[in-house]
Amino acid sequence: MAEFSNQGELSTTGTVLLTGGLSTIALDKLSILRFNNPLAYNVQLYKYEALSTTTTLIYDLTLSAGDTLTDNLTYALNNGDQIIAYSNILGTSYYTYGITY
Amino acid sequence: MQVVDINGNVFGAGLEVTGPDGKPKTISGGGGPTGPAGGDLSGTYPNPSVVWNNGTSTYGLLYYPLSTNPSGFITASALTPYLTITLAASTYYPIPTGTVSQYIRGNGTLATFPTIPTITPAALTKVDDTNVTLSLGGTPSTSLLQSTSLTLGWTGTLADSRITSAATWNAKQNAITLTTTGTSGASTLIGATLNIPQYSGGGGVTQIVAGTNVTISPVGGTGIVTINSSGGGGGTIIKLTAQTLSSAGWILVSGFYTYTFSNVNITVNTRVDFTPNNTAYLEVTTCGMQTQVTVSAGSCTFFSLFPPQTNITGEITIFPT
Repeated sequence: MAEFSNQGELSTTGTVLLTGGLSTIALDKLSILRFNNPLAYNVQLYKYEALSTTTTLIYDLTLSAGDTLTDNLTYALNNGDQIIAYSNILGTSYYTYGITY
Repeated sequence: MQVVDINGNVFGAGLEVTGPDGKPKTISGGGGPTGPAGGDLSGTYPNPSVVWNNGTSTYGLLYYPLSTNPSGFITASALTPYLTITLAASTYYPIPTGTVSQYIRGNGTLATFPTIPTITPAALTKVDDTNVTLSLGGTPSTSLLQSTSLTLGWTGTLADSRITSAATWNAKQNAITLTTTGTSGASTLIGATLNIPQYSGGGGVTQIVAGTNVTISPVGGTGIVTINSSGGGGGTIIKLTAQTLSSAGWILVSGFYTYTFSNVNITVNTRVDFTPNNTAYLEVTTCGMQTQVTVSAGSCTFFSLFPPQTNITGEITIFPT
């Protein structure tokens, strides 16, 4: 088990925030997501399921300049699953916190 | 707090948006407004629930363009109360109803058209020139407000450029035909034919007038004309006998002694001779009297080399020349 935290800038073509690994103990989890941009921006969050090879839109939010979006939901990922975030403009910073096994 | 995304997905607690000031922002109900927010709630609201200030729902509020009045809500009776207020009355003037002989003036009042006076037409007339005429077309007798006349005239000499292009004019010379019909009468130019009769004898002379001491026959008609002299043949020789050239009348002029003899019959066209009597022959030879006699109107002059000492008598003859 290992906790992790990452930060960076979202790509307008999609940024993989976490990919689930192969573990027999527990599922990998992404617990905290934070996004911010000094300009008005849009954030889309998708979950890719490897088993069905389908991608599901979790939310699509339009935010004002300077807004910070905090997502405290916990996303559990099977092996190969991914959490992918998109921003419509550059300059959207992100922070993630989670646990992998 | 419940979060619903634009697709209607509902999320539970755990998703939160905070503004630049760090204060939480409500994102429920389809998301926050876009566009400027103000005290009058300007902006776009996806699912607004707006009521009138009396609590009545505005759910049935419609967009209603006044220009097309699609449902006929706007009626004259509905507008009448509003158009009678002072401001409306000063802006929208009702169109008054007049008669067919009236018009609306600038101040909105009616006025009757003035009577249009009847016009008596006047004539356009013309006065032709001898060679230049003018035709008035249409209805010249009633064409004008005031009578007017046109008088044509001719000024100056016709320019060559006005006639040189006329083939008929240029061909006139060659177009005249000369004939010589007849032997008497006046020459004629009729049309393009010039006739000159072939005269004989008198060559066309129609009258001959005889002068003094001349007779002509015949005086008219045809034939040979005869001219005869009558009387003295046009002049008379005058002989003056027993004339005396006084010895005291001789005057020395330019080396000769001269004697002037006056007689009304003497003219510049006459010749004067002097024939001395036998008794005067000696004196004539002694004084060297010359044969030259000069004449002038009314007198003649005799010449001698020496002054005669006695009177010279003789005969003076005046010849017409």
